[in-house]
Amino acid sequence: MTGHQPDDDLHAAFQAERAAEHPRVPSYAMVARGKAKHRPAPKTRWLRLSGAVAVVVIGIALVLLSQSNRDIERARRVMEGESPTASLLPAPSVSLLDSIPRFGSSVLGSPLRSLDPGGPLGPPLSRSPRI
Amino acid sequence: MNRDELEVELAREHPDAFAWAVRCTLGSREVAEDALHDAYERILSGRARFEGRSSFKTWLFGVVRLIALEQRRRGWLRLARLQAWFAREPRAADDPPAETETNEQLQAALAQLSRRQSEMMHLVFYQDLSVQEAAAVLRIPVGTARTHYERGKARLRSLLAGISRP
Repeated sequence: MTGHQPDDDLHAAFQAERAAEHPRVPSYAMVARGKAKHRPAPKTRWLRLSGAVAVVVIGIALVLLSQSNRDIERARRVMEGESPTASLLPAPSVSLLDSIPRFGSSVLGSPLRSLDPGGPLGPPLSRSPRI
Repeated sequence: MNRDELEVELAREHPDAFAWAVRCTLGSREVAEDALHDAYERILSGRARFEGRSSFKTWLFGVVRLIALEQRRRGWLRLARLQAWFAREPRAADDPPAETETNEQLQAALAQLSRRQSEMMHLVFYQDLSVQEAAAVLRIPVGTARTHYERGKARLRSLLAGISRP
């Protein structure tokens, strides 16, 4: 423990400090009894702790709520948004795509009727006298 | 050890334990008192048990050091310093001086060492522990403790020489 050179000088300095310090040391009884002034009472400590937890929880909830509202608003704007070129998209036959096809009927009339004269759906035959 | 025996041992080691607690709390006597109170409470309530694997003093110092570290982490030190700063009063003229000039020089030099070096110097020279015992208190290998001891000693000597030089 002595190292390469005698440590008497350091030892003496520390022991002088020790001698000066010992009379200033608070008594064992006082320290063991403790001083409560530095710490809040246990009840107050719990109350403070739960208050702090509540504040944190409310803060997080508010942040999440505002974030969620922002998301909904953004989604609504996206849904309602219309392209500047949207007016160019409609074509004359677009309404055909929306109609439900049915046999024997058409909103525009069947052009095939003319191909079946005298048939059940075709135009009637004109009876002209034979020459 | 029963409670009475523990009380006797604690009372016997109290002055040195207090000085060690002050060192561990970076010089704050208020926080040192709190740390020591916590340590005594844990020991007397059986939450910290002396197993007899080292000397009582070494074990006690280890407990005090851990509690002081906990308290430092909790921020009591900053709070206590702030409180002490606001509550400070001028020292009365008839009060004995807190530290002699030599002690002030020593404190100034110790403040410039690393925490480990400063703790080693305190344990070895103030508390008269061996390097092995100091290593047990600090929970570091003996080789590491010896390195801190040698370097701390050399640095402390050069600092003290620099301070005392006019």
